[in-house]
Amino acid sequence: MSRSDILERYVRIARAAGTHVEFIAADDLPGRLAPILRELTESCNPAPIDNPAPRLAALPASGWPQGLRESVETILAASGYETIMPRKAPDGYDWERDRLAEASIGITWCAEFLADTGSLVLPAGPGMGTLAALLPEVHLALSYAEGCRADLADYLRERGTGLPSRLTLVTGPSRTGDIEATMTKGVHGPGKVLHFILDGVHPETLHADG
Amino acid sequence: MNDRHNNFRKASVSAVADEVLGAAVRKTAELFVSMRAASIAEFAGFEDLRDWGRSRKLEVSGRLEEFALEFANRVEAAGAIVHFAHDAAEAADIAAGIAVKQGACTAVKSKSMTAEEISLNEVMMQAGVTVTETDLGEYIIQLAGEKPSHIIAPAIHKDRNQVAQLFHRFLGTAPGLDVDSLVRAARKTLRDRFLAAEIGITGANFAVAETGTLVLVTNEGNGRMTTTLPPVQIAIMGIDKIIPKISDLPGFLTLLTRSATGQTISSYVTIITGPRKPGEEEGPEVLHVVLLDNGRSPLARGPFREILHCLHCGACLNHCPVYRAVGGHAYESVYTGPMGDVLSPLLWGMKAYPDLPDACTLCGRCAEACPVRIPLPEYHRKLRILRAEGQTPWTAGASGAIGANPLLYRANLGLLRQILAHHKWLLNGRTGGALEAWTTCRELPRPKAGPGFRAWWGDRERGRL
Repeated sequence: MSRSDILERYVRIARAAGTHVEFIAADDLPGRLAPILRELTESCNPAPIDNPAPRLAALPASGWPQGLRESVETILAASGYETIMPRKAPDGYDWERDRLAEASIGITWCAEFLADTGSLVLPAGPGMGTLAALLPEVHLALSYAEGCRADLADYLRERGTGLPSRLTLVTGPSRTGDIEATMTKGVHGPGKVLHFILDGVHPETLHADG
Repeated sequence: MNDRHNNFRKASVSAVADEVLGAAVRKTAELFVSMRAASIAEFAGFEDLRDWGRSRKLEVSGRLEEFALEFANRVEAAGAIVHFAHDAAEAADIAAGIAVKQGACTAVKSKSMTAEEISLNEVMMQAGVTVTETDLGEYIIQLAGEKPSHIIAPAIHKDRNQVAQLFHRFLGTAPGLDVDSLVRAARKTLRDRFLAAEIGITGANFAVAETGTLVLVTNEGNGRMTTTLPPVQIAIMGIDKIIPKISDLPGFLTLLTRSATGQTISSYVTIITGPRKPGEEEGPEVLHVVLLDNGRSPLARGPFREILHCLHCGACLNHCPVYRAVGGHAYESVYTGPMGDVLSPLLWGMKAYPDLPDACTLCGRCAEACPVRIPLPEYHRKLRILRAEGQTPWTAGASGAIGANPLLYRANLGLLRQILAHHKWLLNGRTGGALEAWTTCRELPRPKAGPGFRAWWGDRERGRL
C-alpha cells in the first residue's frame, strides 16, 4: 500500500469512528484554531458543567516539534485562553491537578497515528501530559502526514519491546451505550476529538512519491 | 463462595415473565449481533484470525504456569509489585491489605469481571474502603444494589426512567432526565471521584508475557482515568488473560472488539508497562498486579481447558437463545450465558450450579460466534455426562433392561400403544399422570390407526405385502 493510500485509509476510518480529521497548512493554524476556541467559549450545549473557567487550555510540555508549542500558545493567548502545562519540577514534571481539571480543551502533538484502526497514539513520558488529552471536553491533536503508520502491528514492530509506562490508543470520542443501548458521547473522556494534519499535505499530493 | 446454590430452572421462570428485562436483553443482544456481523463481513480473513487466536491461546493454556511466571518476572522488571493469589479470598485480602496499608479509604474501579469473581467490593468495604464503579453501567447497578445482567452492558435491564429515578435519589438530579443529561450527571459526579481517589482498581483484558504489559480496553475512558489519576493502581487478573508476545496484541484486540461490539477497535486501548517512570507527571507511583489462579491451573490440565481461552467479548451470550430469553440474572453468577454455563460449575462446583449445563439447546450458535472457537456445546454435553456419572436414574436402568430383551421390548411397546391410544391420562401431567415434566408444554402423540410399524414390517418380510 502506498503512503497516500494509507493516509486515505486513516482519514476514512478515523472519521467513521467520530474523529474530525482535517488537512491544514501550518500557516492556517491560527485561522482554524481561533473559531474552534470561540465556539468552545460560546457553546452552551452541552453546558460546560464541569468547566467553571472554560478559557483554559491544557498542553503537554514535551514532545512537540520545534516551535509548534509556542505557536499554539500564541494563538491561545490571542483568543483569551490561558495555557496550563506540566511544570518543570526538580526531578521531572508535575501537573497542577486542580487547574488541569478546569481546562476545556487539550491540544497535544501526536507523532504517530494508525490507519487500520483510525487511532491516535499517545505515549507517556516526562512532560508528555496525556491527561491534557483526557480530562477536557475537547481534544485537538496535531500531526504531520508522515506520522501515519499502517497499523498497530507496524507501530509496535518499529518500537520493539521498549514500551513506555503507558501507551494509549485513542479512536474517536469517549462513548457509552450503557443506558438503553443509546450511543452517547463524552462520558469520562473528551466528547469531541479533532485531528489536524499539518503542512497541507493532502493524500492527492502524496500520490507522486507513493 | 461454597454456599452458592443456583436454581436456574426456578430463576429463569420469573426472568422470562419479566417483560422489561426481556425486551431490553433482546434489543441489546440483537444490536450487538448485527454490529458484529457487519464488522466481520467487511473484514477479510476473520475466520483465519479465529484459528490463529485459538492456536495462540492453546499455547498459553498448554504451559499456563510457565507463562504466568514469565509474565510475573517481566512485570516486576518493569517496576510493579506482583502478588500470587491461590483463590478468591486470598486475592481480595491482598487487595484490601494494600489499601489498608496505604491508609486509603477511597478507590475508583474500572470494570473487571475478575474483581466480581472475588467479590472485591464487599471485602474492600469491610476493610473500610469505599469502591466506586466508574463504568457507567456498573455505576448504575452499584447505585441500585443489583448485579450485572450482561458482561459488557451490565445495566441493560434498566430503562432510562429507572436510571433517572436512581440518579434523582442518589445524585440529586432533576427527575425524568433524558439519556444525554444522565450521562452528563454521571460524568460530573464520577469526575470528582476520579480526582479524589487514592487507589485505582482495574482488571486486564490482556497481559503480555514477553513485556509484562497490561492492556485495558474501554469506550468510556474510565480505564484511562483509573490508570492515570490515582497514585496507586491495583490490577487484578486471572492468569488466563496472558498472551505470549506484544506482537500478538493487534490480532487479539481485533478479535475482541469486533466480536464484542463490532468496533474496529474500542475508543481507548491503554497499554500499561509498569508504574510511572522517574520524571513523569502522571500515572500511578505504585502498581500492584494480583495474579489470580482460583482453579485455573487445574482447569488448564483438564478436559475443559479451552474455557480459559475466553476473551469475555460476550458474543456467545448475544447469540444464545437461552440467554436472550432469560437475561443474565437467572445465572446467579458473574459469568453468564454459554461461557458462564461452563465456567461457573467448573470454578464453584457442580453442586453450586447444577442446572447450568442444561441452560443450552445445543444449537451451536455460541461456538460459531466465539472468536477463539471454544467448543461450548461440546463442553455443555461433557458437563452433563460428568454430572450424571454414578447417578443413573431408575428409569434409565429400566429402559435399558427392557431394550436389551426383545420379548420384553415387544410387550412393552404394545402396552404403550394401548395407553397412548386409549388411556393418555395415565401419562399426562395435567391429569396427574407420570410424565409431568415432559407433558406440561407438549401434547403426547396419538398412535396412527392400523397395525403399527413392527406388525407392518413383519408382514412385509413374510412377503405378504
